Amino acid sequence: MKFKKITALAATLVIGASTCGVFSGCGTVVEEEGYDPTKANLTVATYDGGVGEAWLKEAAARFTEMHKNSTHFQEGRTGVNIMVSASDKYAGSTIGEKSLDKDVYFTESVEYYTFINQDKVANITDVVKASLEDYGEVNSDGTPVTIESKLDASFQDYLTAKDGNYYMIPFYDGFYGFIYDVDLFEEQGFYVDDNGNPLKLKKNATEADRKTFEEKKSDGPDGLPNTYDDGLPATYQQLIDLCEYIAGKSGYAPFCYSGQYVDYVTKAFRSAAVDYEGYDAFKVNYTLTGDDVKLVKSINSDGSLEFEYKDIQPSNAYELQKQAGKYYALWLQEQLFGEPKYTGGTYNTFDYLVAQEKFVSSKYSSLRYAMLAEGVWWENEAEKVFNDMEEFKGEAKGSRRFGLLPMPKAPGQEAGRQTMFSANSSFGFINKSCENMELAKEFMRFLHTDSEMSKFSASTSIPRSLNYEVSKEDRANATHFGKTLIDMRAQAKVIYPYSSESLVLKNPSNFTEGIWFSTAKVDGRVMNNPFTAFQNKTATSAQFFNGLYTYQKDQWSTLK
Amino acid sequence: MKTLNRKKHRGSKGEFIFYLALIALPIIQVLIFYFYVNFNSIMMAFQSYDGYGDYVFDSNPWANFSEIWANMPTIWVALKNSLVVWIFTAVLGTFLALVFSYYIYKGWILSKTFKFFLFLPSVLPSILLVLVFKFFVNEAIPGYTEALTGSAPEFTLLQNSFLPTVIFYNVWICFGTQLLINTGAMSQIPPEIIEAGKVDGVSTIREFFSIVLPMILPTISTFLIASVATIFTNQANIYAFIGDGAEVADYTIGYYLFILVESDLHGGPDQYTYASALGIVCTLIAFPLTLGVRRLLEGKGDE
Repeated sequence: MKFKKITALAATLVIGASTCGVFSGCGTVVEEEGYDPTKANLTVATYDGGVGEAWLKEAAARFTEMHKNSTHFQEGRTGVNIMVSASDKYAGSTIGEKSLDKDVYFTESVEYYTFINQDKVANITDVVKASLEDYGEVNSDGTPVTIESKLDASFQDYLTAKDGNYYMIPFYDGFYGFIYDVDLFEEQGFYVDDNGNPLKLKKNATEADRKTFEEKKSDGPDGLPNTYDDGLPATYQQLIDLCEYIAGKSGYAPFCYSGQYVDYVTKAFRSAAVDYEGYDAFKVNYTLTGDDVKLVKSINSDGSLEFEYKDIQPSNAYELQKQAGKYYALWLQEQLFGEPKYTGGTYNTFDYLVAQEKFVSSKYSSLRYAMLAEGVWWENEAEKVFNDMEEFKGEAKGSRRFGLLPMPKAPGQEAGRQTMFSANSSFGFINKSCENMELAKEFMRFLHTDSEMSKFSASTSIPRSLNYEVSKEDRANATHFGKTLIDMRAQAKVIYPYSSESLVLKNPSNFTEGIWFSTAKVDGRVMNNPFTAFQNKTATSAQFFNGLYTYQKDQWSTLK
Repeated sequence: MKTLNRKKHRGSKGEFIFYLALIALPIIQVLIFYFYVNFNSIMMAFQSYDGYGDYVFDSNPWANFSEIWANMPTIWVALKNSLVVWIFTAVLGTFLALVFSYYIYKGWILSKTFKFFLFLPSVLPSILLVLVFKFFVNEAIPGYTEALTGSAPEFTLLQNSFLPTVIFYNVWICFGTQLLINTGAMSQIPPEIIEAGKVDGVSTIREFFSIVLPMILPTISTFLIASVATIFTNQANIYAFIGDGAEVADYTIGYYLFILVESDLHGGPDQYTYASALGIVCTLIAFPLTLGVRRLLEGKGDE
């Protein structure tokens, strides 16, 4: 009988505990591994994705060193202890559904206003508006530098649209494009001179050979000599000619890409649309207000365009689907991916990790790829591939040189600086339930100094989504890919797909890349990816372009 | 007597606490994940996203329902595909599963081996099966083709015939569970009936259609009724195959609803309200349809 009672009690406790366990889940800082009872402690989580965790650990070490004698963060304790955790489970879409158990987060795929509405995120307006003078940051006119002053105006509008307060700070830039193999370009003459002829660097080239080689390179898309884009295709036609040249060489293919995530390719070409339109004209896609916006009136049979100019307001912003940049980008995509001749003869089915592996390791295979359609975080994601290459081929990550291909210019577009488009919804924020708010806020301020953001760029090869300069010392520590990106970003204007326009805020899905840039209605059929439309020959670039307009015009009245 | 009562009372109190602890989780689960979720979904159909993470009742409560009308080109395609998937998996798949079940039930040659291999997919995680199947379609078939013809095909089956390939996978994958239940039901048929048929000289085909099928009709009916009820929620494993990157031409209603809510590329918080409205409309269609099919099949069963 007694045994029966004990068994019943134990069973009740087990079931009760499992029930309670469902509703618990948050730990405290004290329970963290690495907790130091003599110091002020802070837990920081980061999504273990494209930027990894090394940057955060390095920054935490510097912050710890800076505050090793600080006593003001917690009474009776000297110094600080930052505990960094990196995991896939810290993705914005995952933590948005759970209670937060860390003090500070850096993550991506964040629905900013959904998070705020859940009341889980601390108001950090004081951090964003605080002067960074104590970190030695002052404008030349003596006015204080703040994190807010480093934010693009579109971010300022969007982040404060609800109540004037800031709750998160943008994290890193999510550019898509084509990554090219610099070594291969040099070896095989994929660079061009002023006349568009292939330019090859001799094997075992001397310094003098390299100097001559560099001097002969064309000026590239920016039209300026001695810049990061010299020798690269300056126009769409030059890019097509280059692809033809590469495909014509036995054992080489112009493009590697992920057949499973073909939107990467579409997003890479979207960069061409943005660059054609430029900052002010493309920004209208999110502000939905602009005067005399240049739009395509019709497409002539020879492919040339007739233009018209219209004032854009939220009521007729579907007209923006007629922006010429969108047509040219689709046209270029159709030319390069409408047939598999530039992808090695077949349409692959790789996922993005396999595509990265194929691209890097193709140096040792029978088919070598010249370019990869990817996001700028690819080097960090491909870390394992680089490690394998080092182990099996003795070739360390730093010894391979890659670069981000600047978008060439469309017909009628002048050479000049790039306009880039960043979209990955990544943010940093503080948990509202953070136990040591002063320490968390100070750490956030520290991470957003120019010096720390510069080190972030060097460590990850990716820019933060704020305006700052990367120091020469830090640039020198970046990979070759990181250097080209830092150089391009320094010259470029960057568009962030945010605004405080009510129609955009209330209908965010309509302005996602999958719909706003990629969903078209052609002959009554809805298509949501130009890549497959061109691949399966269900629409031409002109039809898809007109379909973008038709789809949005039909949908516009349903927007809230 | 008094002592006995007290003992009895104490025992039942303990049992009651145990009972409470036992059912607390399921009850809470039903309250939250059935009643609250469905109530919230119905409310959402009449609300709109306010742009700041919240949902408010719309001045036009039917706005989300009118959006369904605006999206009819997509919905028609998804509806057509849902029906095609249903016909292949529920009707053809069920019939083929019955044929295989009968083969196994009869204990013909290699029946145990077939049973093992056909049931195997049911015990493996679906995502693993999809990966294996994808590898077969994307790597093995082009590899064999290249070995036979000398050149790899431009497209794989998943690239130029995505939906038919996915339907084939779904038909193959639905065998296992049905096989187990069908053979179980068939084994319940009294051997005397089968013996009597044999004495009367019925052929194997006649035995299958005239004796076995009518005898296990309640089991088949359950499958068919359940499949009609889930006709609009079945996403046919499309998400497992291609994530949120499917072409509209390959959508099913289940997949469409799923990506409206889940996808960063095609969905967002504002789509929850539209998805709720579409969900209600689908329920309004599926509910009478399910009852109708049930009545039809039960009627057949009575005959």
